[in-house]
Amino acid sequence: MGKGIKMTQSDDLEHLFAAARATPVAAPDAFLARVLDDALREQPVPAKAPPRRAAAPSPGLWTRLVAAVGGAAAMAGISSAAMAGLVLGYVQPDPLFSLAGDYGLATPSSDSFDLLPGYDSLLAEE
Amino acid sequence: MPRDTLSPLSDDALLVLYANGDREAARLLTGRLAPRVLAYAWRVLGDRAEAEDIAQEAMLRLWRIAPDWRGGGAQFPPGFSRGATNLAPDRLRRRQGRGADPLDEAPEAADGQPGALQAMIEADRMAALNMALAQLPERQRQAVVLRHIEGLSNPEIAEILSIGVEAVESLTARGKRALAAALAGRREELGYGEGD
Repeated sequence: MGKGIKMTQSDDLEHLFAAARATPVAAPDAFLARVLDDALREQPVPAKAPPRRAAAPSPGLWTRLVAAVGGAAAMAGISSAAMAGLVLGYVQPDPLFSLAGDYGLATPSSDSFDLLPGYDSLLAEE
Repeated sequence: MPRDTLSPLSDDALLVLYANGDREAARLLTGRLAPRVLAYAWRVLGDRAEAEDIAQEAMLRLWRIAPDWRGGGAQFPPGFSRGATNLAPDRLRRRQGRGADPLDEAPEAADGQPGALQAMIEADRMAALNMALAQLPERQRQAVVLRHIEGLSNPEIAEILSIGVEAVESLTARGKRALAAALAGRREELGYGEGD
């Protein structure tokens, strides 16, 4: 009988252990909050990508075009030349002729300005 | 990362995610491990407030070793388990030195257990078990709790307690005999009738 009692007590003990394993223990919210605070405070910061050079905004389309042509200075030169050609094409050079007249130079008519005189004078001497 | 995605992951995997900066992993690990550590400390110390302090310190050790943790299949990282078990007896000795009664409290079961009457019976049984555990010598109590409630193997317990496997077997055997003797007179009170 003594052996039987010991056996039963052992079974009871195993039952108690199993019940203890299966019984979740209530953890107070305040305790869990403290543990989580520790966790977040101690959490390693993930490694970051190497920093970019300071404040280099992404180049826009216009900047890329300018760079392809040769930079802002070259673009400015091209713009000036283009604008001068445009002006000469539309404005007659009267101010230039009046300036030449002041210095005793021939002042052809601004209406007909022959850059290539032709052969008429040579033929007349013969 | 969303909770649903992380929930199936092992503690090891969550700890790696935690070390990589995942805040949801921190929340899940806290929910999984902190109650267990608290229950263990509570059973060893018998005092709720000190058990919370011990459990928090043990969890803090876990967070700090996380960057170096590479997994290994153990239920807890060894350093974490050893830390928890080593912290608790220090507190216990201080309490006993002050004359405090380690039987003043016992772990409370979480809500949601089936049946009010059955819940009361189980609560009485848990209280009786914890009172009997508190009467065991310190090393026997640790060995019995780790083996029979936490479910660790004898080699794991030997590592945690820094003793040999045979010493663990001896401690658990003597602890169980002492528990059985302590509970022998309360079988009917705890619902274990003569015919059981």
